[in-house]
Amino acid sequence: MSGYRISRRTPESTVGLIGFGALVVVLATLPWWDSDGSLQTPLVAILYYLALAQMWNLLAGFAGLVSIGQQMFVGIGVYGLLQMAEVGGVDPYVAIPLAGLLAAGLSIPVAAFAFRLRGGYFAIGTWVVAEVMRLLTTESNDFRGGDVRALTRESLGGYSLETRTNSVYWLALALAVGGTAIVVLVLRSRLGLALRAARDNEGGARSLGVSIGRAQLITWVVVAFWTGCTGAVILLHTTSTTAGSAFSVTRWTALVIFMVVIGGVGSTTGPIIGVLVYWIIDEQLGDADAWRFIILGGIAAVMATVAPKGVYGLLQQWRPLQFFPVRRRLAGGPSTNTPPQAAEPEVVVEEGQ
Amino acid sequence: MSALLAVEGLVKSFGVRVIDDLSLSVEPCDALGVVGPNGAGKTTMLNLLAGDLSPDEGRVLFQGEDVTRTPAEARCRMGIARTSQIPRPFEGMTVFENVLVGAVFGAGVPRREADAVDIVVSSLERAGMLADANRTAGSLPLLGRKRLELARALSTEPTILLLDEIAGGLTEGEVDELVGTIQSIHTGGVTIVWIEHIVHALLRVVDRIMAMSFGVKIAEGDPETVMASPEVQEVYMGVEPE
Repeated sequence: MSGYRISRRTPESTVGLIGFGALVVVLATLPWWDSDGSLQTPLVAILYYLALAQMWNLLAGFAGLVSIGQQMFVGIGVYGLLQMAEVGGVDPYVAIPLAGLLAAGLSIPVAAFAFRLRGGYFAIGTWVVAEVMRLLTTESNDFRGGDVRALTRESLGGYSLETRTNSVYWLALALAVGGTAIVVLVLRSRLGLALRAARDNEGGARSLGVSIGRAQLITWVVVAFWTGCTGAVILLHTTSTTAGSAFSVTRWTALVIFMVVIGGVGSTTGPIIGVLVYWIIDEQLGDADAWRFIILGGIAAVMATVAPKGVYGLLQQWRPLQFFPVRRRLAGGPSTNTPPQAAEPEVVVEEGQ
Repeated sequence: MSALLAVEGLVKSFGVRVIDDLSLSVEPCDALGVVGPNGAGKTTMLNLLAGDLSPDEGRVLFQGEDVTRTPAEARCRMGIARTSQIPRPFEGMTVFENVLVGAVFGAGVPRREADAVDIVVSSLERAGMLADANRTAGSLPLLGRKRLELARALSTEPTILLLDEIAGGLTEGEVDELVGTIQSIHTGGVTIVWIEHIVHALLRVVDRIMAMSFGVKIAEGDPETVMASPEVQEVYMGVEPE
């Protein structure tokens, strides 16, 4: 019986991994060859949006938790870093993972409330929690969220502007690459097996021993951590904030949902495509202002109807390519090298009766 | 308290009483068949046994332990496996991944995936699905889906297997194959509770039959006697035991 093993590799996943690695190397060395910053500047936002998109997709596309309260974790990250650096005198770079941990810690009591709700009620519930956090931050005398607050030179730790510009870029790259890696690693793990099973058939998953609530909670906390870290880096990038922008549902959830839906929800490649497509559309629209949201909304509505699985879904219809090695195949053994894929009635293995 | 699985005074209503004061006891290595017309409450009873529903009244005991409020996933890990009348495959996953879920999570403490491979392979083999291991579950025809239900249940290494109309909708030849598989599972020491309309298939495996009607047990005992009893003949017209 031994000789069988689990394989996750596909030919295109090897190509995908090499390509992805090469792209990361190119992007990581960018500050040295993109001297005028014409690429670096727009890329910071693209990269942290990719991190947000991967995290929302992990929640909504894999764990079945359609949250529209992601801005709560961004806001916690923003104000976490602000308070730690301004009041606590913590080095801003040290404060980034601490802000992430704060978001992860606070996500647990939020889950205690929101996980009682299902589907659309869960979505509204997370939004309400985020709004409450925004209001508390605005009203609080400690956070003064109603005012514009900026990181002062002292709290930025005396790092030079160039160091900060480059480090924010690298941090955004790390968030994007790390966010993608988190999704891949989750999907390759037992947690991912449980999430995908529950997504396809909740009752069936329970009947096979899967504790769905537990799998969802772990995912929720991981996403909160990474989204909180992203919020902290966003503050380092902008250096000033208000509660309204830190807890903005439009910026940190609605746009992110747009990207993931356009690219392809429930896949690892989809958010990457979606972020790039959004960037291209956004470039074209320029200062179209009010029309911007009307056009983006229109595109989202059309895509959701015509191609509910996004650009990646269309690609899948053409060729079922797996760019990330996350699916398991049974490999080795005598008879599984060429699985029958035809719609023919299945091949039945005879057995001793 | 030697019963493997027992229910006492079970009541479940959805507006009307679907299960009405049902008691039942299954001994280790039994093969119990459950028959009854549509709407008799058979599937509801199975859902109550597996933990997909919880009863309004009464108790469910497994190996002497009260599991009435134990959720389905925990009952599975204790050794109660089930198949579903309407198969519930994870359509986007391969057959192998489907069965891996049960082998990893379904038997006691979660296993490492690498340690689960052999159990998956033997479950696939016993259910006659090994050749389809890397096929997407969503592409399987009905017999494949039914066999996948069986392979997934086996991967949880059950003490007792609850089957819900696993032969329904299949051709005569397919039913024959499936009966052979179920026989060998039973011979391997797994206790069986099998709900089935196709009585001749049932009779090849079970050694006891319970007949239900309107949520009430109307007869129980050895198959020939139960199927020949006037109560069963009355509610079960048109189906004759072989």
